[in-house]
Amino acid sequence: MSTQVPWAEVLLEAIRHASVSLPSDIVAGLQRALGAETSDLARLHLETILENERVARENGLPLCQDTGTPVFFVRAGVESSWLAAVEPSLLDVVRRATDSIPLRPSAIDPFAGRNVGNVGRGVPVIDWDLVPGAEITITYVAKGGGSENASALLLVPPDGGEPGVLRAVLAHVVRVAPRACPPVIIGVGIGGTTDLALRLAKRALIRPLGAHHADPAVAAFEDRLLDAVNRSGIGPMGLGGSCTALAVHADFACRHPASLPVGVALQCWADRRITVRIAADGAAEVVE
Amino acid sequence: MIRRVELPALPADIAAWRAGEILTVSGVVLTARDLAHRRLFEAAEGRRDLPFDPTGLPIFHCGPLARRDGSGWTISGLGPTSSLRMEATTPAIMARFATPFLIGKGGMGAATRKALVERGSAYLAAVGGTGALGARTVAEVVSVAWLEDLGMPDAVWILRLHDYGPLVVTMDSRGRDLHEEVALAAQRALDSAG
Repeated sequence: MSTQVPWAEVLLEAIRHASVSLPSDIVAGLQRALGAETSDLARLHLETILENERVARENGLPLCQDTGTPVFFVRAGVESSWLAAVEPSLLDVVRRATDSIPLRPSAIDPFAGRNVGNVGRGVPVIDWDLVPGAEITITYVAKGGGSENASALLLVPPDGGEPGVLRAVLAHVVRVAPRACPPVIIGVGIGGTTDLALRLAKRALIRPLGAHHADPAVAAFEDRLLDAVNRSGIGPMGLGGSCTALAVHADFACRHPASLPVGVALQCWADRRITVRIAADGAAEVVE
Repeated sequence: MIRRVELPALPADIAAWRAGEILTVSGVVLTARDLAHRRLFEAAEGRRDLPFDPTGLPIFHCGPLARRDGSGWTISGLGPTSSLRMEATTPAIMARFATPFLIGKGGMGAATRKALVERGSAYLAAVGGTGALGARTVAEVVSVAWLEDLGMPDAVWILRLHDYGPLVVTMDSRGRDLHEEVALAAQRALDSAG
């Protein structure tokens, strides 16, 4: 049975922890934002957000009533002997987490129109990435609907180069950020095919807050976009302020001569994520 | 700075709420989002009977997190969902059911703005994502409707709240709309940066 995998309890506890508290980098980012805000309304919002985090953590309550679509980013070592057990164990842990934390049943069959809980066709979302070695790392993210609705696939004219990408992403983010529960984290995937562009954007979101891309040109793009977004004045919850985004995380892939797809994924401030590492022997630990 | 409002609030008081004011509300509200909101619209048009009476209740765009507690319910998460999805059906619902005001996040559109002015009503923005704080303000789950067929988030929950907030009056009866003001300023900044 999937419940007998050695990591089930560690993962269940990790999901509980992620549901009722924010990662320390996000708390620090929100506190820095609060320190920089001068608008009373923006400060009230950030203070309320931080107070909510404290109350959630101390009382074991989910941060947000939208406990999101469960998403697992799995970096699976191809030499692990546990690969076949991963998916059934994730479904089982989500079912148990739904009852015990609790999580809100938020998966709806679009044809039957029925709410099926948190496990159904395609849900939880599992993003597989095969890597060398015998270790498996699993990052859980609870992806809220408001920020998910702010996603986009932009098909940017290739002749505009990087400035064209920046303009397109900025125009999109300025339009949608107010309803994505800002301050947000912005994931941008540049190039590749359309599906890859969006996957890169989603994967970029789970980097530690503000961790730049290793390529200096991409890192410079991240800084420019973050600065431009924050100069918009959209602010916390779209009611004005100097912090609209906590960070921009970008990544890229080579593109076809005819195409420059750009995936944009937004993460609300309630960035519920946690990573568990499963060693070759099945022993598991929370790593961040 | 934060003003307590006991529900039901007097129409004249609601009409006097001004954009930028910060309130908490105490009293009975009704949650309705996406699917339930669509059903309220069908009822407003006379195409559906309702198993509850929404007349005079504030509408809260919210899909709560609830947990069975014996024969009743405990709310473990309460906060706003993005209101704009409910834009098209809002004016008819407010007119039919004498909705005194709305609670949500992200603001609404021109049709609702007009309806708020015509009705002397207002839109209150809650802080998105703060479901734990919200849960602690639920004094009573009065009733729930359509839970079986719509599921927990889309069901209508009638809740008695105690000091729910902070809520910012962002759209008022004089037609001010803070969401739009900020969005327009952001758009202007973008345009001028070229």
